Amino acid sequence: MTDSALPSYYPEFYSFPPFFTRQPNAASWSSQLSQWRAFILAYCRAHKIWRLNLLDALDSPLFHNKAINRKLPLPVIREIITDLTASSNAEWTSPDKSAAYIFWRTPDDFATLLYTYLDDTGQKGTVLTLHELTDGDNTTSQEWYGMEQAMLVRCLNVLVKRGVAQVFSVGEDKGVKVW
Amino acid sequence: MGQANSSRKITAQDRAILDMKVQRDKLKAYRKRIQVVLDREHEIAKECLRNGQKDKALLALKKRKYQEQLLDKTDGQLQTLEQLTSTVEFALIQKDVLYGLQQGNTVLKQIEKEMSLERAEEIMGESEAAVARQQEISDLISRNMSNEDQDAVEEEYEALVREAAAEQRRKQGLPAEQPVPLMPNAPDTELASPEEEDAEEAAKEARAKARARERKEQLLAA
Repeated sequence: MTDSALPSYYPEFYSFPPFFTRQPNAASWSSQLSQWRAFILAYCRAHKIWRLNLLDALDSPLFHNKAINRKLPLPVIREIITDLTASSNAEWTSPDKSAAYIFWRTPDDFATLLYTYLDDTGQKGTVLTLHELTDGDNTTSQEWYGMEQAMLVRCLNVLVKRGVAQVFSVGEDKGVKVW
Repeated sequence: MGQANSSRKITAQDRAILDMKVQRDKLKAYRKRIQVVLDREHEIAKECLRNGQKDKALLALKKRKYQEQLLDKTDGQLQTLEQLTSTVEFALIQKDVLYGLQQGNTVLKQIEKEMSLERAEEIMGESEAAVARQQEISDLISRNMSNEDQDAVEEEYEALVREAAAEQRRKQGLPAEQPVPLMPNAPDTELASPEEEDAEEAAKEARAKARARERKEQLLAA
């Protein structure tokens, strides 16, 4: 992979070997961290990755720059993801921290997006299945299309808290109604 | 809305609709699955034909046919389900509209109660009486006025009208006076002036006479 072929969301430092080593200096690390945070979110957004499995991701272009033969070590990845969880941009899916949901928009942000969409399309007051929101034929162009249901529930719960939605279920299948 | 909170509950109807929509999602998923099988059987048939296994190819195609029928049936069911869902949702909206109409009707009845016919007649009668009284007073006053007073009143009235017109013209950005100058041009000929003055005087007198006649007629009529 040559530099010129990299999509624009790759950071400038991607071809810079020290970028793949945790910097001991606190100031450098803080800047490195913010670069990595932005890169992970942008990468997942571009590839529509909702759940990042750290072991699988280790060898993906995200953490492995084959051109300069550098890899970001797993503990550092874990540290960055943990930092992302602090700002609601990520959520561990299991206690062993092997995989995480990546919210390139925070649940709050997605909730607003969903609400605006439902309002604009006149679907307030209509019962919708979660499945049709994430995999339906009408939402293919929406940013949350393909989102995992557990993540969608997280976003919808923001709306529930705002008092404009109710999530309920019939059997195991969930639905939502927004006012 | 006052009843916003009470209406923000999931009703039994909502659950029924969700149930139907979940079934719809499942049917759609099933359709996708059959489509995959269809494509695969087609591939198998092709492969078998290439390998000279005619029987196997035919079997695959038969299976495919069967799956196709299932797909058709699924489509039919999906349509029925979606129609039913739409009908239910529309019925719910109709219910809301009916409620709205009912509310409007109640308010309208209430307002009508507040403005009964008797009350309207009473008010109209009262204002008629007031108008009549006003007319009487006006007549009384004009009868007690001398002709000169009446003339003076009318002259003043005309002056006011002229003034108002001028004011309006000024507001419109036109010169205050009418384009026809009220002031006569300075006489540059000797001939015209005396006769014109006479004519004006005569016109004024004629107007006064006409008014006097009018008043007499009014008095006679009264």
